Amino acid sequence: MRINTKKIALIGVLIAQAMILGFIERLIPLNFMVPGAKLGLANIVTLVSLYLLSDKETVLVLVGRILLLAFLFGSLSSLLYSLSGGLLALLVMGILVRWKAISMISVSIMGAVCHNVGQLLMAALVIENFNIFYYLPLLLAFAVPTGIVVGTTSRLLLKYLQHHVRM
Amino acid sequence: MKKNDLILILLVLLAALAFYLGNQWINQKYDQKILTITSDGELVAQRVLTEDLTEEWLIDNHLGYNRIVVREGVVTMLEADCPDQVCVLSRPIREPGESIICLPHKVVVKIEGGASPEVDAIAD
Repeated sequence: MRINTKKIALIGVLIAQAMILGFIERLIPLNFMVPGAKLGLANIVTLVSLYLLSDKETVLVLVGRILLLAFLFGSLSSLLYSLSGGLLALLVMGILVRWKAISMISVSIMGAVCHNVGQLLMAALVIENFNIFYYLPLLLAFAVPTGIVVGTTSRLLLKYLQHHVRM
Repeated sequence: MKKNDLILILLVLLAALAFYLGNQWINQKYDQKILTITSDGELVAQRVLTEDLTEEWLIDNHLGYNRIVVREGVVTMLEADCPDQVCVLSRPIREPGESIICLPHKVVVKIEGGASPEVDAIAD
């Protein structure tokens, strides 16, 4: 991986951005509507990274954010859920960004869907009970509006960055 | 937004509906409702859930406590000292296929449909 100073700085800024978004998200409780539901604001940064950076660098941004947020606010179990959801979402989004027939909004929605599926799989393994998938339909339905918001925001941010940041 | 995006959104919503209806369909036929409570993989209680069942459990495992109440056949997670409170905010359950799960404390409350034991006895 060839990496220059500018890239290192950009990756650092993106991790910082993702951490702030992850923190803001903790202040907005959506749990009362759907158990375990989140806006997924930090996914804005992952999505933008996929377009701005290489795959390996995007993994750095994602894992860096998840580790730092878990050390600051989370626990070992929340780290486990974040990693399983985040990595599955990144894998699927990384494949989908190469498919030109769909826009960032679809990539974002599928990211949200896979994040939920990844977390539920990990949760099912932890509690050794697949009943947790009872929550899947609501979470899937919720992934659509949050995915649209995150995807639209990401597109605007990416447009701005591509104009103003020279790589 | 492209046309393909709308198709994908529709597919996701259809998948959600399919999972929901599938769960309903699996649990539509039952003779009695079975309430099962497990804590960290271990069975705490199993009851036939009837309209007049009233009972309360305090589950206190090494992860924290959960207070579960059944009143007139409706199961509620009354309180818990888990950090996210997702289980306490979950709506009360009463039908087969429904669950309340406290992930941080590994507590699972579920209702399943079951065949009544009398029917089995006759079949034997």
